Amino acid sequence: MAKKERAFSTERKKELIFYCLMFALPVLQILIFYFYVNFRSIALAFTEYDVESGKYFFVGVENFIEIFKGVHPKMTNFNMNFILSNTLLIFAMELLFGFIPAIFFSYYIFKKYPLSGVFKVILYTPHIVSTIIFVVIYRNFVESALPQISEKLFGLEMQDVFNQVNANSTRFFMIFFTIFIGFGTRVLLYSGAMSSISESVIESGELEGVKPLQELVFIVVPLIWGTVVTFLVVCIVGIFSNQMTAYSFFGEGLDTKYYTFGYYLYYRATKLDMTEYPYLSALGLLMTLFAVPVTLCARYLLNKYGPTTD
Amino acid sequence: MKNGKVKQNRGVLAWILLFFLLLYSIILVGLLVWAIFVSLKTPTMWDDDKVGMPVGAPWDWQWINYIKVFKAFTFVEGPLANGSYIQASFLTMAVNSLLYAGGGAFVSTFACCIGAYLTARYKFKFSKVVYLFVVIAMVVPIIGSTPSMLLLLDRLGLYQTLFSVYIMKFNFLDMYFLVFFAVFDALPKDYAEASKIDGASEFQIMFKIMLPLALPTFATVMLIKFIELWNGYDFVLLYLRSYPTLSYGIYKLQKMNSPEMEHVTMRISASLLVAIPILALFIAFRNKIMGNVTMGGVKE
Repeated sequence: MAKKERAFSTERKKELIFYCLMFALPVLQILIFYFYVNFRSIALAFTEYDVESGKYFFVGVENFIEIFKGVHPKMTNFNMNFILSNTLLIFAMELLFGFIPAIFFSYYIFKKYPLSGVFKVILYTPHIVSTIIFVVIYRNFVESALPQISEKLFGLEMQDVFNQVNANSTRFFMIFFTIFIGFGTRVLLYSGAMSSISESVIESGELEGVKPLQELVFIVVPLIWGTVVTFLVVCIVGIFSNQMTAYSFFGEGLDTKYYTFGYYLYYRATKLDMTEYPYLSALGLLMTLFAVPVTLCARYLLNKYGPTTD
Repeated sequence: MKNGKVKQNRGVLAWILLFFLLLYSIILVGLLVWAIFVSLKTPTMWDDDKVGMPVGAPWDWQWINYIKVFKAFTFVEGPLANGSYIQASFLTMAVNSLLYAGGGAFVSTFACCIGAYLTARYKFKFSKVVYLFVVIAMVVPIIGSTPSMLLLLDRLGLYQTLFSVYIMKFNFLDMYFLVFFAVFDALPKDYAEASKIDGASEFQIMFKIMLPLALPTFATVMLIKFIELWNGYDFVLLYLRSYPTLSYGIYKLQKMNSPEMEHVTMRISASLLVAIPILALFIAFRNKIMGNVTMGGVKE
């Protein structure tokens, strides 16, 4: 018995050693590149860079106060009003015209209606071809070919629609592009989730004379609600970070009035200006403090008050 | 009812959706076809007509534009702080793309796979902590840590090196960790137990028995990650400017003053040329890429 126990404990020891050895590098990576980097980022938010000594020194919450004032004197082109309103506008548009239609498109594919296989591939294409390639094609089309088409077909003159002079049209074409290329993954994941719904559930609904819209709203969406919530949460998380479209179109030349949080943080980080790092970290920390409870609350509320399968 | 199946009542909704999906497809395919036409035009043809097909028979179109792009598309950036320039030919950018996307995709997939294997197979307390931490890290957003990362890389002397990218990507805080976890958790333990009785070490069990069983998932995840990295330029612009990739090159091309590449026809030819390898990859593996992705991850 004792021999058996000893053998078991040796076996367990071997497993533990192997486990520790194999985990050592990945855990070390996370300790340095996740924990250290994020804690350093928090610390950086309370500092200011001294050019002469080349060191960061503690300034308390000064950076946060300046950010709250809306226009930070040491942050290039920072204007909280523009940034906040643009970010929220894009988020709302994406939610309304990207998120909801994606559920309908997925339903079409799930039901295997005519050409659904073709649409699935077409919707996924923008996810396969690089966004920057689509940006080059789309921008040249809107600037050069679209005015010609609109004049020939409708007699409408379109000039300077995408060169930032006309704020409304520039915003429209940017938001349209963001929504247009964003369907792929959503549709694929929703239709994937829908495909796991039992056929008998759908068939019993059909036997009871349920119409397609009722089927979608009262049967399909509640059954894939987990996936929908996950995507909504990802969407909320992305409010402050995933807005690269503007950078792809205009690079550093974007007018301040179109700035978003995602654009601003990325653009200023690419300048590699050490004096700006503390302000960017402070802005990032503020957004994190805002985004975390919003994300968790949204998740909780969507799960609690979302549709049920009852 | 027909053949035991309920006849589908498509209704108005299906027609409305069909209309919008057709509209979407026409715009998307139209854009791509338009781009192909533009890439096959001479500058004069473009100035005359910015919408239609190139003039003449297809064999007379400017297919040579693609060869011109291959030869003339050179990335130039600078002068840098030390007065030097970063220069790269199309071929160099292609090699950089392969090293960045191929290497990055491999280490990232490998880290997820290893982390998930250890967490799923060994029921130590730490495994539970790791699983919980991955889920939390995925849900809780941390914004604005780029400056801190840049400072760290600079201090370690790793900034702008391929090695730094591989280290950064060797991270299992990823959705695909959960995918691999599901795969390893579902694998029967008998294989490992039988091998153990035969005298196999933990290392052998992992690399010779368990990981090969997850190889199809590994290949799919790596392929998806490869495409993502190949297409992205934002990471390269921040951390790897000395190794310009093709996507970064296309981004820069919009702002570059190069007499050979300045014309719209050449810029669009370059963009399409860069898209070709990924499109070929997608066509070859589309069932694997599209068929296997679900919210839970990758279906076998």
